[in-house]
Amino acid sequence: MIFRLSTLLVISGAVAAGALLFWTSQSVQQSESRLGKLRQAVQGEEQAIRVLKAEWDYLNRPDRLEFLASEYLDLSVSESEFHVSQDPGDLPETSAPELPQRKPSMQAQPANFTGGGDE
Amino acid sequence: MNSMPSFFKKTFRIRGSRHSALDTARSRIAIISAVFVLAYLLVGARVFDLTIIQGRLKQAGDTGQVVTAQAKEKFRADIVDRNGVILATSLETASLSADPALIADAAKVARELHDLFPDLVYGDTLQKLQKKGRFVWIKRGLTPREQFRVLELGHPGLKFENERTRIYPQGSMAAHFVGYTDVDGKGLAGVERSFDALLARGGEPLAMTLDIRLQHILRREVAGAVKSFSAIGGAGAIVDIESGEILAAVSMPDFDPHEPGAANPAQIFNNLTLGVFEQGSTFKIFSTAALLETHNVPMGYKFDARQPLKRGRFTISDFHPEKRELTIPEIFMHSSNIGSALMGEMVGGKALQDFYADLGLMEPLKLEIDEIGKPILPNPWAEITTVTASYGHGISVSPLQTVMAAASIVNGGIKVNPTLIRGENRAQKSSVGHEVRVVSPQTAHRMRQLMRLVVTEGTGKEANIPGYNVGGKTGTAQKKKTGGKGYDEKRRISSFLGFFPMEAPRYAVFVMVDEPKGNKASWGYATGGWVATPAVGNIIKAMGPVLGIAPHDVKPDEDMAASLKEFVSHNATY
Repeated sequence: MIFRLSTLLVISGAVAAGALLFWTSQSVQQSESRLGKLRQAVQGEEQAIRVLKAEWDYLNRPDRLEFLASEYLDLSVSESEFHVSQDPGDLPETSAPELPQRKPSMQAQPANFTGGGDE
Repeated sequence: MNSMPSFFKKTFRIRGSRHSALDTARSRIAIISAVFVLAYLLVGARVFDLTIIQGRLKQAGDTGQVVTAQAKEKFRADIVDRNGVILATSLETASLSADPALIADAAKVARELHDLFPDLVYGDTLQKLQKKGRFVWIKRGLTPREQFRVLELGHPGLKFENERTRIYPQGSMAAHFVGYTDVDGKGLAGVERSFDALLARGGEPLAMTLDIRLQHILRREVAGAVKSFSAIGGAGAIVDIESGEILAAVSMPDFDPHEPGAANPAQIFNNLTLGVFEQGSTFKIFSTAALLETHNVPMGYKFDARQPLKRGRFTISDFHPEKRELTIPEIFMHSSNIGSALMGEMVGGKALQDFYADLGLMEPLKLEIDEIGKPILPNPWAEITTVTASYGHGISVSPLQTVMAAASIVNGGIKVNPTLIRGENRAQKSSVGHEVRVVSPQTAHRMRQLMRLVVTEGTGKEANIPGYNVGGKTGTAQKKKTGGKGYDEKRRISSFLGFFPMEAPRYAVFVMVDEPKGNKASWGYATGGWVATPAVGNIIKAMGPVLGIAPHDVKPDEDMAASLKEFVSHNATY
């Protein structure tokens, strides 16, 4: 016999090792490619975040907000007289508005408490 | 042994008996064929890999290529304001190039590009696309949206190169102090320059002391004053005098930091820290404080301001002549040059110089940017210099220097050092651990009273914002004639330096306007009281709500300046 049993074993072992090596290298390659892609995606996201942050601060420029507020809002610039300290004693006396008794039939309707002013 | 086939018997016999050439050949053939079989197996395995495995992966969207994440250098660090609003950041921007060899219909591509970017001239683009080479630049620094639109066109000949660009989202808002970089990202001015090495290392953003909201208010008012008085420039600052932090700083005219090359030298020039000017009457804060500090004179002490003062070949006169004897509060609130000159003489040349040096007016200001002007001091300090320096002429300092010197007096007499970088002063204070006193608390208190008087009774009435108890001093300096000696009466620098709230000063607000021309609303006047004071008033009015400062109303007879009124004559022309 040309090949002894041990030789056969060695050869089959080598083939098995080769196959294992091939399988490992394949999975490493795949993982690396996945990693690379994830890294690229992360980089892309980071890039997008940088752009969005810059854009946020660009759109919130005080001069732009001032222009937009004067153009589209019925609000005026607050003045020092409107400012009260956080001390509750500085606030004018107020009492909770008394709500009128409701008829049972009206309770089904949505209550509208948001409107200001006493009835 | 009998059960063995004859072939094996034969083999064994051959082996066992003697080695022949045939045997050697046989084993060589076996080895070689084994090698070939292995090689074919390998090739087969690789073919299987490439066709079946990779093909599968490709179908699943995996290109099978190993994408190596480029080890990119870090982005240059951002610069932010005290609330974290971005003042400067680096972004990757795409620049559009083309490979003319891959452009099939140059005219069509050029037309489509012209539609996307109207600033690209159709003819130029067409010429570029019809060139023989393989690379031409079309447009640099595209926004992501522009890049997307170009990609949508779908021309294979259009390509992108990624480049890093420094972006200033606030535009020209704080351009002189944030600074700018060149195309390679090297800092050329402002904080970008002085902190270049730190910023280039990347990492955490650098926080400045500026507050972009206050910066906007200040810029709006300075620009407004410059415009309505047809001035050539201006400057302004808001400083927290407790910490020395500069909350807002403006120099007009300003420029777009994205294109510093397009700006003229006047726009690039920093009027607030690099420019040195004769400050005029705001210097009376210092000469008056020097007098109160060095001489024990009562507030009612009178100086003779009946006639213009003659000293050598100079004559010093008042802008609003009162033509009578004036008390210290009257001199301060009417801004009498004659009175201040007499005060300066009383203090004496040496003492006045020492006092100015203590306030930091005799040497360049220490600040975290490189654009710092060196004061122009008379050399030698003649007797007449003592007189003129008392009312802010004959000595030129930067506007911010004046602000900081006055802040040191108003701040109870403790020297205030300016800073543009958050946390810097706190670190300094804890490491050095001692404060420099420039005037006594008594002098500081009397100066606060005098400055309050200017706003309640004198030239600074326009800055009297109810609830904030503003104090300050107006300044109107004549500029030197451009050619030859003497002063030009028509070219002035008008300023107002205000502090509030005066009972415990926290903020300094300064506005300076260079060469204002009187307008209808100011009855032709272009002095500090008409030009800069209303601007400071508007700033304080707008600042209060932004910073959440509750107003604190004081009855007229409880006002700080009330006790000075007995020294003010009521037949005053105001």
